[in-house]
Amino acid sequence: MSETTEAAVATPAAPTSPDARPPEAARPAWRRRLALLGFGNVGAVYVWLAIIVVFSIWAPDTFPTWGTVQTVLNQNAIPGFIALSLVVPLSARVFDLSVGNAMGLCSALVAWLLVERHVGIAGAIAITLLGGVAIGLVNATIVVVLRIDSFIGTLATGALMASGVTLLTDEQAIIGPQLSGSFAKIATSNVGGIATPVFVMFAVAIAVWVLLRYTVTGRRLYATGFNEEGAVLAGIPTRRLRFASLIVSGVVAGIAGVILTSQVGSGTPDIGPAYLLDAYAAVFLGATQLGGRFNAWGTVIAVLLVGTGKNGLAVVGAPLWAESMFSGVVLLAALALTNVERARDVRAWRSARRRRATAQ
Amino acid sequence: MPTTGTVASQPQRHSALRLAGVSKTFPGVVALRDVALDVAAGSVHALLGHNGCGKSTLVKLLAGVHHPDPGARAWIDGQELTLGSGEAAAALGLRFVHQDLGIVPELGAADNVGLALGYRRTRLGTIAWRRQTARVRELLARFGVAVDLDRPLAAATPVERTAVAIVRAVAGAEPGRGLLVLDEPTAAFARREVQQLFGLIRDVSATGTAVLLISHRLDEVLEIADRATVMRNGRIVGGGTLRDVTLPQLARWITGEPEREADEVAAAAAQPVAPAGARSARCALRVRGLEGLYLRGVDVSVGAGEIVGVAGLLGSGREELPYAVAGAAGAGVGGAWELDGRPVERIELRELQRRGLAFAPADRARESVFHDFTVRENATLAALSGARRHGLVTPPREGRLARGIVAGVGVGAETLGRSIATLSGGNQQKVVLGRWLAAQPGVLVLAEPTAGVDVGARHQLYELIAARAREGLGVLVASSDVQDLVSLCSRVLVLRDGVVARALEGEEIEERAIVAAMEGVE
Repeated sequence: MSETTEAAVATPAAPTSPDARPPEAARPAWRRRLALLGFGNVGAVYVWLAIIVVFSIWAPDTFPTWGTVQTVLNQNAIPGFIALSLVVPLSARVFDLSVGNAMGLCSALVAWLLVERHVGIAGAIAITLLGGVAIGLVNATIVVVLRIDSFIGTLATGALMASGVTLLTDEQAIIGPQLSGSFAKIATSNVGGIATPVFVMFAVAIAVWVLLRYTVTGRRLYATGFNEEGAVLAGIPTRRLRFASLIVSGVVAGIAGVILTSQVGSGTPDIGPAYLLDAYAAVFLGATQLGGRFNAWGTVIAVLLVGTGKNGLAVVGAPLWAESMFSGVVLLAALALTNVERARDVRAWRSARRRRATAQ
Repeated sequence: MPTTGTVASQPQRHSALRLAGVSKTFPGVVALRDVALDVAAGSVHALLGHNGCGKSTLVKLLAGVHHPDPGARAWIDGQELTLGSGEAAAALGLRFVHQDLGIVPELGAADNVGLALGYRRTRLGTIAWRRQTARVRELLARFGVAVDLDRPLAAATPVERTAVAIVRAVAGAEPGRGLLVLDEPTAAFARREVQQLFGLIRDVSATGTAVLLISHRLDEVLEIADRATVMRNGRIVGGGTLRDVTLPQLARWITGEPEREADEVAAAAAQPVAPAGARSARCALRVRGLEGLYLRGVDVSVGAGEIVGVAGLLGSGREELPYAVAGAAGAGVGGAWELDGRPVERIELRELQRRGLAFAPADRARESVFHDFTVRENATLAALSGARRHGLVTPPREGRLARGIVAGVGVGAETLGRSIATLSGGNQQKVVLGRWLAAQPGVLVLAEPTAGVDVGARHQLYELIAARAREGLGVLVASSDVQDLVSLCSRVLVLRDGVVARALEGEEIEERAIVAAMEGVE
């Protein structure tokens, strides 16, 4: 008995599962690669291309230009930052609803430091980024140490940050010569019309992408988000990861705040929260792309998709209400299409189509 | 006994459920082929077969989760049912208790029953809590279950959760009609609780409601079921009355293997796959004076290459012990740990894992499988650090690691890219086992390693574990399934009231002795 047992176990071709369906590996490689370009995987890219085509036909002289590319990229760097700052916490199922206010606070802080306290540029930026870390620490303490649900906890800390903005700005925009000149150059210096913040945003996107896709930490963040109890029992330091994820979003919000002030040229009150909902919309739309979890490139694609559409509407002189309606419709359409396709069990659908095709 | 004269030749009760020509094709796979089934009213009918044989698909068709291929017909109590609609099935009296129970873990028993059966209301329309609680308590008492009605079921034991789900389904059924489908109800049960469940199943069938029982535990099937139907590769391949059928015969129905091999499978259940007494001088794990919620000073030691079992009824500490040993039971656990002969200061799961202890918890769906991860990601989770190059995990390296892991536990590499939710329970468990073996532990702690795993896969799991033990791995197995312990262990600790009531070794390890020690009737 023991001899047969050993043989059975030692053979690499141990009895395989009865679950074995037609082997994935048998599909030719080009076909698998083609599936990566399928609607279910990168549907938003097709929607994006459609938007570009529509506006190019609608406004052939003004829309398909290098200027449009510059504008879309430059205007969406900050929404991109805010959206990207959410990807890491959301992967671990932590909702940070304070990022808008966090960015607003950091924006006001850097302006206040420069104008009111006459701190040098490097010092002001460093202190503001530390402020971002501090914001993350507060959020993380509330959510992870005190175990308050992130959804409500960060809503509360967001309110605290809003009061901090009022404290610094006194409801007045902070303006001063310190905000123009070399500080303004941070946001306005450019390479071929593409401003520095765009490159910084792509750098952040790459960092988030590598973290989530190619590191053990990234895998553990997803595991924490998918099944926290399982992750704990698998020895994953879930609390530490959720703590760190909120620090990440605080720091990215800090970067966004500095760039925002540099771009606008003033420390404006009430500027942050407006970014929050669009950022969540982009992250969730992005999560339907490229494999169905929160990820960096899906988020960037979503931000640029909505940004392109809004820019197109402005170019063709659409009425003011069209902009918000466009964001809402695109989001709903993209989410619905992705869901419909998933629900249908992609493969059932394809094989049925193939059968129909051969029958005809 | 109600008889109908519809069948001319012999008096027979009417069919509670009849199926004819039921097929189901998924892309690339025929899950069911022309299935016909007849379950007599008031009978207990077992549906048997290996994982992936089509049982689950059949249950999902009945529940309306899947639509059958055209041509399928079904009748409940003689009334035709259109398969593929959950509401129609419920209206005709089909009731289900699925393996995942379908309860709301955040709510207590009172609400879980109330949500399914409705609440007692006052004249104002608000819930009459006193009457509601009294009713739920009365329903649960029929099952001999005394749970705190308001405590969230998430905090209850698997048995209590199952009990509430079953009582809820049964209480909603009209007596004398319909069919109750129980999918692996005893998977997480200890012997005594199985008996409680059987008592209830007998009550139900006595009212005339039929019970369709899906189970991997053949001895239980023989005990409770009147008839069985066996499936293999999506077909009905046999079945009949279970009167005068023996365990080896039943096993042979399922495996469909020639007699000699089938005997081996049956014999394997009685024969330990690990050589008894294979104790080495080196101690992989030793815990002295283990204390916890239930445990009151238990000494556990596992030598390198030894497989030690832990048995015990619910509340004996058997459920708690693997968690406590692995440092996963939370606060209030005390004792002195030694791993590989060296004392461990900090008793935390992560510290113990770092020192070479691996732990596969009891509730696979909740505690160890990540349903949103692929098979590959589930397999590599514990050993992923080893697939790094310059700090990054590269897909080819992870792929190699994952292929090695699944090949080692007998799961096909073609499954790697799929969600783990597409695998059967047995294969999920193999992947989990592979995950922990890949971490190269010195000692492996398993809780309920074969819950929801079929006969064939169960034996493969035994052999995998035994093979690694022969290479020097120390294994601690806590299981409510005595078969696990008899098949695997060279030493079994039987817990009662939080202490080791008896330690069995070698030849002493057989089912009756373990059960007797558990129950304290020696």
